[in-house]
Amino acid sequence: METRFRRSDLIPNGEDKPMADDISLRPELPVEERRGFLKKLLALLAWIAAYLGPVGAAVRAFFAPARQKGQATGQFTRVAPLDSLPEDGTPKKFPILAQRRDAWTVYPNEPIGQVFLRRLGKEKVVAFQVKCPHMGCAISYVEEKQGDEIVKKFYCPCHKANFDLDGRRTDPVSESPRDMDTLDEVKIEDGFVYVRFKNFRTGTPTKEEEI
Amino acid sequence: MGFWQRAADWLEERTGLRTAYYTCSRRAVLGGLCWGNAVRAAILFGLIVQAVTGLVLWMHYSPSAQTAWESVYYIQYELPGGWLLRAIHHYTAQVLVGLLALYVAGMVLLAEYRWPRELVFWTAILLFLCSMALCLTGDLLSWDRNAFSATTVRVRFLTLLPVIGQTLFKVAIGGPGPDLGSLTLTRFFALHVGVLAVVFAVLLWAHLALLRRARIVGNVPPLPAGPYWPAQAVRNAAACLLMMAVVLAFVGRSGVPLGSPADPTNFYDAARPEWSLRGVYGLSEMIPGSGIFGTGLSWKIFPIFIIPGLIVLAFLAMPFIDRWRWGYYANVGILVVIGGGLAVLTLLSYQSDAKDPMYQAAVAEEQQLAHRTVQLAKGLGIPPAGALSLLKNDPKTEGARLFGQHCASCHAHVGGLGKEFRLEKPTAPNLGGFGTPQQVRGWLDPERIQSPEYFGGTAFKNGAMVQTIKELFADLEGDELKEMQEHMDSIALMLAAEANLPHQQAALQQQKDRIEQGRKLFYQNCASCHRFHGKGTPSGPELTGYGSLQWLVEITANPASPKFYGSRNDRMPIFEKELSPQQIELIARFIRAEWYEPPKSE
Repeated sequence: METRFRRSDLIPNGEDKPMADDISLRPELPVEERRGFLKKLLALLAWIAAYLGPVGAAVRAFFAPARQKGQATGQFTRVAPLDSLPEDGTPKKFPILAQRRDAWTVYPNEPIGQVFLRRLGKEKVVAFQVKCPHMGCAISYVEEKQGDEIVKKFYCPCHKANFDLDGRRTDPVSESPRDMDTLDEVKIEDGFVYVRFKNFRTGTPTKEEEI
Repeated sequence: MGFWQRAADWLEERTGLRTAYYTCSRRAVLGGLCWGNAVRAAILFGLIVQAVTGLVLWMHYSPSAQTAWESVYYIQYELPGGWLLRAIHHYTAQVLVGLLALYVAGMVLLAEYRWPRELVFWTAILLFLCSMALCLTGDLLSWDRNAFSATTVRVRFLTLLPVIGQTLFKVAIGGPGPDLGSLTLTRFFALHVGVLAVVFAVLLWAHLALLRRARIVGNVPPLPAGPYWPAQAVRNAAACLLMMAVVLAFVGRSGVPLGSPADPTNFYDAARPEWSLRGVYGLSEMIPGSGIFGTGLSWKIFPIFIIPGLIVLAFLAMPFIDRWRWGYYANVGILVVIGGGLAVLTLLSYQSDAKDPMYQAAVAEEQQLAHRTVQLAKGLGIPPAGALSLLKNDPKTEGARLFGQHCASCHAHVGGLGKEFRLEKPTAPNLGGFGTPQQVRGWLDPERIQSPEYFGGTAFKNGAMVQTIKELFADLEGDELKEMQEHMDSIALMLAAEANLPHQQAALQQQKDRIEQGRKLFYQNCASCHRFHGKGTPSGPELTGYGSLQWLVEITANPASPKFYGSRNDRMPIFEKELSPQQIELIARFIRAEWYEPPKSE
């Protein structure tokens, strides 16, 4: 019933010389039963011992980033003069300048992130992370014409999430897992706005600092 | 026996090459000649094309944040044939993804997952997944804005996973984050060329070996076996040629575009996945990001991980589903629903972008930025800090951006060179063409100075300057009016010569007499309010070097200095408080249209 091909079926011209690595040509060796077990164990241990160093080092280096902590953001950073914020509460985007490190390169004074500042009173300013809580794209401030009215809003263009100026989600089905992240530590000193800048985890319904 | 014959025998004895050649060339094609084999040959051909083009790309590529885009720029614009090499590599990858998807679909339709071909089918699915992974890792390597932004989103999807999400994200980007950096590039590069490429080759080898074995074991009764050479070979070669024709049709004349260099502070608003993932992107848009009933997990975990995971599982399970009586039809149903669904979602996603003006604007802006970077790189060369520093020091780009951010809420920039900024109700003068004779002349015209183009929106609308100009022109008619206008033309020319804008220098050189006349007229008529080269009374702004780089930098840094408006400064901010000297200089150079332009080709 079951038909199998022979090698001579596969090569029609009959030039079917046995190949050198044909397993049937290898002489069969007697199997050492008892001594064999110790040898097998020894061989296994020796292999493990030989590989331990290189594999260990490789695994350690590969997973090193798992334990690394992000940019220290514990300090208040001077962001902008209070006067530069529109008094009607229109948000303005500012970079957070600090020392930035990427792998082995240190940039002395570069943006490590961005914030929106909104002035809500004489001495009151709120700050929002520009990063979208969904997947970390940059949220834009948008003035959209709807009929004769101009609607001011925040908008994340990557996955089309809308937020009002207080950072609340406004879509019936929002892409974002939570409202925009506020930076809660804001102070005003000598006419300048200072913010303690933080990054937050993306994709989570609760706001947690990303470290 | 001739020499060559003996040499061949010598080699044959030691290597078996001749036997191998005959074995290959006369080897029977199990199952007979078929076009299915040609498809597999095309896939193998794709792998070889990728290996060859990839290796040469590798010879010119340098993965780091300061050199990745720059080396791709070199490949694209300076290396002879480099653009074609890159384009073939890119489109062969895309065609391979499509071909493998069709191949798997074909296997489902022909039920080629049945005993003893389960592993053949599974390796085909793994090949498809591996080709996607190769695209995802290869995509980042150009390190342009789209690659950076789209990959950021993709890698951040890992943070959706519970418990280990954040750790996986860090391991994937090779550093603590929050942004992708040099270590992400080296990691993705190693994965792309060192791991995934090898895995793909091994999978393809396994797929073909398993298929051959399955044919030997499974063909009951045996199918006729035809020779490989040349009957099957000609089919295979035709399939490879057809595939390359498709690739070259995609390549066209322009190849693959290279965007502007990655910039963590300038996220690409139109970042989108490749066509092959557009369906999943469309699916994801339909599912909310909010939390699943207080579990701390987002619903997004479904479209990103669970649903794609289930789709893969469904395909892997097809050999088992098939054991059920209606299994074959169930499998075809799964294929049609999933394939059709993804196709519809893909179309909808492209359609929604085509209708989205903000998406279009972001794409257009990025194209301009990419074009400008290439202009600067070709004209000025790339400095050690990388191509991004070219853009960040370019008045036409960064100066315009800063103008938009800090000046354009009051000042329009219309009618000059460079980017336009229009305002419905400007509250400060239009700065387009600032320092040109035509623009300066407006200050000296009783009508124009009061228009919103000049002082119309400001506190100086009825100020001393406007009054003075009005008085000078009051009741003038005929020749008197004409003479006054000519005098004002001369003064305007003289002030424009102070600005000495780069694109005006040649024209101004020919007006030396009138400029000299303008200088005399200025001292007679204007110096009672404006200081000029050490003479005059300082009640209005100093006009020495009017419109020059230094004058613009100074007035932008502090318009309320006694040299300019002093305590009468309208609402203009003191920018030295919020901008760095370099930023102010970039704005000043933007207003002066002082930036690199490539020489006009004849």
